[in-house]
Amino acid sequence: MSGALHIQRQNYHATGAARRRVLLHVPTTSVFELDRVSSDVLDFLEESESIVSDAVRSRFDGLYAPGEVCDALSDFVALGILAPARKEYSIAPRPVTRTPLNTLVLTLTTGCNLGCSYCYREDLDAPKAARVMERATALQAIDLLMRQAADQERVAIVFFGGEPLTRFADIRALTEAAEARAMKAGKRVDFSLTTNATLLDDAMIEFFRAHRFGIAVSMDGDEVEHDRRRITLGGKGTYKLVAANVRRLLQAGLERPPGARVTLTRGSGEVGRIYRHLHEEIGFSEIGFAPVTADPGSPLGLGAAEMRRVLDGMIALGRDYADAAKRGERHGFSNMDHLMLDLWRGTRKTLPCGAGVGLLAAGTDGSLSLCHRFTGTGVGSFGDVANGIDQNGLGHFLDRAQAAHPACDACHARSICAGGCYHEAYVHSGDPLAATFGHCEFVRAWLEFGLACYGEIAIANPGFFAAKFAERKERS
Amino acid sequence: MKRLLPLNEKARSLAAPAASQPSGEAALMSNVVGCTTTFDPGWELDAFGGMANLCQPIEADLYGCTDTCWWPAQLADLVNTSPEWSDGKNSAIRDWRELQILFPED
Ligand code: SF4
Ligand code: SF4
Repeated sequence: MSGALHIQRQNYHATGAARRRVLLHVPTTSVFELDRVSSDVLDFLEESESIVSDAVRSRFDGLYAPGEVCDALSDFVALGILAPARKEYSIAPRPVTRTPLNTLVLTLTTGCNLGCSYCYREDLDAPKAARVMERATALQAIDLLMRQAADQERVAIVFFGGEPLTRFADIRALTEAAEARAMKAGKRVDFSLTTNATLLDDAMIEFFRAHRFGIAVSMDGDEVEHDRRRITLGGKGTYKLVAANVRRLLQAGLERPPGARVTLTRGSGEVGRIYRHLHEEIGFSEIGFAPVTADPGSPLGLGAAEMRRVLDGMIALGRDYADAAKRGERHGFSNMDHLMLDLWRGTRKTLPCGAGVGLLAAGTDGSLSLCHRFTGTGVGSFGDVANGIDQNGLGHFLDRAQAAHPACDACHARSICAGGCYHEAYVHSGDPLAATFGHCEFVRAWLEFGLACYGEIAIANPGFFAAKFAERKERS
Repeated sequence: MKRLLPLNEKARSLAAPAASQPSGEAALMSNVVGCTTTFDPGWELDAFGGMANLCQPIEADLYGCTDTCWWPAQLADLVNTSPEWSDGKNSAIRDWRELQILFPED
């Protein structure tokens, strides 16, 4: 070793207790377990920042054989965790000149039969005043999807609203039309929708079963929890109706089990309690949680203390997930599933999500937005279903999105987070590309916890992830 | 990787020998994979003052031996007498046949 070598903190994150230490190699999202020697060597590097051979020798002489220490050091060098000068692995922004669309969201209506106090939609209307998507527009959108997805074997259509079930006749007709077009194009098409489940009847359930729909139901917990925010336009709670409809939906045996989507707002109950209610009482097998998107002044938003409470609840529930996984059992906490999948796959993002790349959303008038949350907002459109995608505008947006903020450049969550949701940024500052650092502590703490769990599970039950994610791997 | 145990596919691909790395991202790492970055062949002593961890000449890339560090291998003197010896023969794997023996009269 000639001269000093310096630790490169931007390139790794290690977590876990001494005997079970897991290391995330940030530039590649590789996950390693450290053995005793490498863990002690890493401790030494972290204490010293820079090392020279004399110091290494005097620290480890008599403790470990020189060869062992050398091996650990060369592993760290190989990963760019130890280097003679600052080491960065930046991926040059890749110009996006074509949109390899695989998912298209159709905003069937801006109307909703409920008046949930936290809904993020800017353009929501009562059913009577709603703007709806014309059939012809929807069909053009489907054609656009088939065209843009020329290279893909599978495409997905998401029916969205408002409340999409207020337009069930459209869903039926468009599903059949899309299936015919997909067949002609030699593709498989998957359908999904997000609903409040108040209008769900047996005929709809049977239709969704027959066409293999994936369904997400917005439900916030038990009656008290749910009825705080999820209310009719007249102000009445909807829990009883939704619970009854969902039980019938869950009994119908859909190929893809319907999931629950819980929105957490100020004053929401404990995550674990909500989970247990939706899992044990209602019967959902997959339940995901999302903190509400609210501008900083909103009375609904979660402040720092509340976010900490949410995180603690998610961590407690995540522990249950990890314990179940170690025993080889599945657990329905889907936020954990997503994080585990990212770590298992080694996801390495340069963009936070697929919005504008694999996914676009068509508004009721056929204009194309980055994603379902941007239809009807002040953020300009990227073309429309009749004339196609505004490739220049979209390419320009994605170029800018790929240029990481300097703070993200130094963050160990960057390969998983890549700057966070454009819509969150837009709500907080009016600019989808602005940095929103409000959730960073949360993201990093959640990743830290997930990394430790990933290590525990992968060590205790090595085949667990491959078996669990086999199907998703094939789909990705 | 010698002491880090891979726990996901990405880690396994990094731990595997460079030639079998399947992913483009893993190639990002190719300039640091292996021991030669710090323990360059040619150091007379290893980091611990011994010889146990030195690379053997056979493990060192031909050009690595001539360009970036000193190694007493039987190679042409690219600095003083035969600067063009390897011109246009940039890949040891592909071009090794082209590298000619030098005779005193050259
Ligand atoms: S937004 Fe925050 S958590 Fe995400 S990569 Fe940037 S600094 Fe890290
Ligand atoms: S911008 Fe946000 S809401 Fe839209 S797809 Fe991306 S992460 Fe999801």
